Amino acid sequence: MTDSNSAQAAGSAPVLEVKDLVVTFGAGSSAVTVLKGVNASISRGQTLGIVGESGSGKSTLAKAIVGLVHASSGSILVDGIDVGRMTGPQRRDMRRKVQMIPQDPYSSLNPRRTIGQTLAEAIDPVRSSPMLHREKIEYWLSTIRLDADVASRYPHEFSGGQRQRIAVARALAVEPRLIIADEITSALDLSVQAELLNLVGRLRRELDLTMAFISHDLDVVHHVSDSIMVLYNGDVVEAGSVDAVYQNPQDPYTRKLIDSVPGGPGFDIG
Amino acid sequence: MAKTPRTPGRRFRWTPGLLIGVVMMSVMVAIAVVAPLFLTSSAETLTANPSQGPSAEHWLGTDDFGRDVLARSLVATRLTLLMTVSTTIMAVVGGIAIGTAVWLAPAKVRNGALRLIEAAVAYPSLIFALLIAAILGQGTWSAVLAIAIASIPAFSRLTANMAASISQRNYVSTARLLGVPGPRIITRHLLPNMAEPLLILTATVFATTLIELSSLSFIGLGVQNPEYDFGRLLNEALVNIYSQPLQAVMPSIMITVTGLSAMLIGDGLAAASDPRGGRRHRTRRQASELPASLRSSADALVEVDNLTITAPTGKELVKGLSLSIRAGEVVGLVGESGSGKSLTAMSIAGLLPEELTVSARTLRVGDLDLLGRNDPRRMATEIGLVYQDPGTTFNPALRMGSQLTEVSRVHLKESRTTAVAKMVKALADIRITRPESRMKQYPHQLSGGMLQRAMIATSLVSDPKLIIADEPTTALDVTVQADVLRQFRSINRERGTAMLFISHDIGVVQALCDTVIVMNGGKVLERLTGADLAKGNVKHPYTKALLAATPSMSERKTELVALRSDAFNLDEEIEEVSP
Repeated sequence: MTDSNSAQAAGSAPVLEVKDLVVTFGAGSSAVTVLKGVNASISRGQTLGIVGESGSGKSTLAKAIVGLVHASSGSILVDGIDVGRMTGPQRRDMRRKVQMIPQDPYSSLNPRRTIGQTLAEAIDPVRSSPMLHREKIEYWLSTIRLDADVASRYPHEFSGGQRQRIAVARALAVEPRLIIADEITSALDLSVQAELLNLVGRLRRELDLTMAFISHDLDVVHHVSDSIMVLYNGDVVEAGSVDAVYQNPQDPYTRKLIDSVPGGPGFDIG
Repeated sequence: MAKTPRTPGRRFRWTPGLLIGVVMMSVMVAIAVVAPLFLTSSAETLTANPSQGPSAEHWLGTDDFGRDVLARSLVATRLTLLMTVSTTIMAVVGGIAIGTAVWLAPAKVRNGALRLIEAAVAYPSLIFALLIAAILGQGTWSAVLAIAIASIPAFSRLTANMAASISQRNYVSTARLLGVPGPRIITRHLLPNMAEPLLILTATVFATTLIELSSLSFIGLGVQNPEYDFGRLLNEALVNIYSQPLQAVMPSIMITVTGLSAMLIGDGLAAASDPRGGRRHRTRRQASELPASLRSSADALVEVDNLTITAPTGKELVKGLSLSIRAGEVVGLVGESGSGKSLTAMSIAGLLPEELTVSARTLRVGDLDLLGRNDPRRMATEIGLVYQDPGTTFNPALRMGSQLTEVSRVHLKESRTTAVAKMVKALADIRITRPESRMKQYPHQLSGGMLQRAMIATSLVSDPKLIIADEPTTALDVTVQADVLRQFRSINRERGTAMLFISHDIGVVQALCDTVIVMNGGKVLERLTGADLAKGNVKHPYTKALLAATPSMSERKTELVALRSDAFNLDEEIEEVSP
């Protein structure tokens, strides 16, 4: 993976670099090590797909990158700066550089705040009156193809797919360096998923987004990613460019994973 | 799901309870404002007519000192309400402040503080208040302070616990990522989302405060002569309870009315504060159209002809659907949410919710007519069911054994030993390791794939003719899903069990099913063989669009076709299944 990525980076420092990341929950005999020395890097404008089954540690990795989970050892560098060594206001600035789009469209929006209020908070967390930021709110709503009058409505008036698009707009409105998309299509219907994936594809081209795309769905990851990383029990078992890994997986677990996808070439249930 | 059109913005919702509460409370407030202006002299002037019964002049009689009982009760409203309101405000503000402070504190301080608060909640607040009142001395404001302090723990406990639970939600962690300062997270994201329980607790505290203040005054620790509130009036009335019983009636009524109106207002406000509320469900049952004749089809095991399922609102969820399943055939129902696939399957299992109206020309499984009443034992043994989420279909408090053998013991009337032996064999058949010890385990000790296989095993013990599986692999990991699908395949091959397999995943149905039925908007759009679907040999434009909207690792599509089901002619049905 390091080879292909350094080739893409062509001299510029990667937006995200994860080095030997270990995350352990609990202490003593009940301690569970969820990530066992993970390495990853994403260059500007690239999308890294992170796949794995439940318990593989992919969501923990996402939380560690955004700072919601503490690293036990190892380091996370955003734009070459170690996130773990920052304090106070420095970290608050850094936090806005990395944004996460959560999985569940139903708990990611505060039900008591209008869409306008939610977006205004992303634009300016302190002075967050929707009136102050009306132009920007309308701009971000138009990027996700929603009308401007949506701003005065509440989350319950939207479908799951629309809410997920709003969550995308909220992450974009911060204008972050890196976006972490954590299973953003897993709660959606096929047609809604297609719409969201098209939106993500369009934004990647137009806004030159740098993204970590976490999913259990190998078809979806294949569709959106440049490179891919396969996690199993907290270890990276395989990493590389999408075409290389899908066409010629080296690790037996990756092989099994790819062959288990219904409709895929290796799928066989007897 | 169709979105119900709603006007944007919020309109305050008046529930009958809230209305009654507000009216009652307004009357009490009006009395509190007006009564002291006009009735003070008759309430407080000593006259020469003590201890009189009811008369035209004194409706409820007079007390020991010849003061009008009714007037005293009405005038006392002002002081009582003032005391209750200030106590409640102190309790709410103090409680929320302490609660959020505890939540913001470092973990060690927080845990210590929470235990302390819990101990305070467990201690009877009236006794706590008595203690404080005894320290502060007798008097109106020491009573207020005592009760307020005694009520604070309940509030802080609720606030801290609610804050802990709400802070787990994604919008709170997202707000942190956005860099929203802590105090603003509390005012914007935490407090509004705990408004309901806090409002209800405020109303309850108002009512209990009223009673506790009255109790303090009643036992002489609260309001002192010459001032008087409801409790003080009750205290005076106690002396004359046999000669002047009416003296106690009016303060009691006032206490009850005030408390009740506070509770009604609290509940009403809680309901009105939620922007999601206000949806009303109407239930209306129609007589279902019974079949005029049973159209017999010798080889079909399941026959559904012109099935219509109607919601209580009159909306048709399934519109005249027909399908048949032959013995040993695997039929897949594929469609997006709201397509009616699960409703169709559940109506074949006889498990539709009561409020839905079902009508069909024919709806049968074998010789079970599902439009009439059926023996529950035959339903349970002839149709096997496998649900979507193995994590929630088992009761976490019971061992696997008693849950897995339920069908055999209840419906097949088998002894415990036979049922267990049979189940152990069934689990072994489906390749679950160490079946005997699994039976003694609890659901949380088994993995999701194992639970789902156990559920398939239970659906097989009665040797059903048909298995209905509603998204049985959706909650499973992809490698486990492949395993479970292999199980379904071998059951079908070895036992010849027919299956109705519901899924949203085209890849799954094309691999497993002989026949695939594509549904949308409560209708069948296309029937085709699984093999044809796998080859992309489809006719209906909706099915084509569905395939084009599916990302695939076998090919790189630059743009997925964004599919809009309203753009297709859903009345067109294409049938391409060779028997």
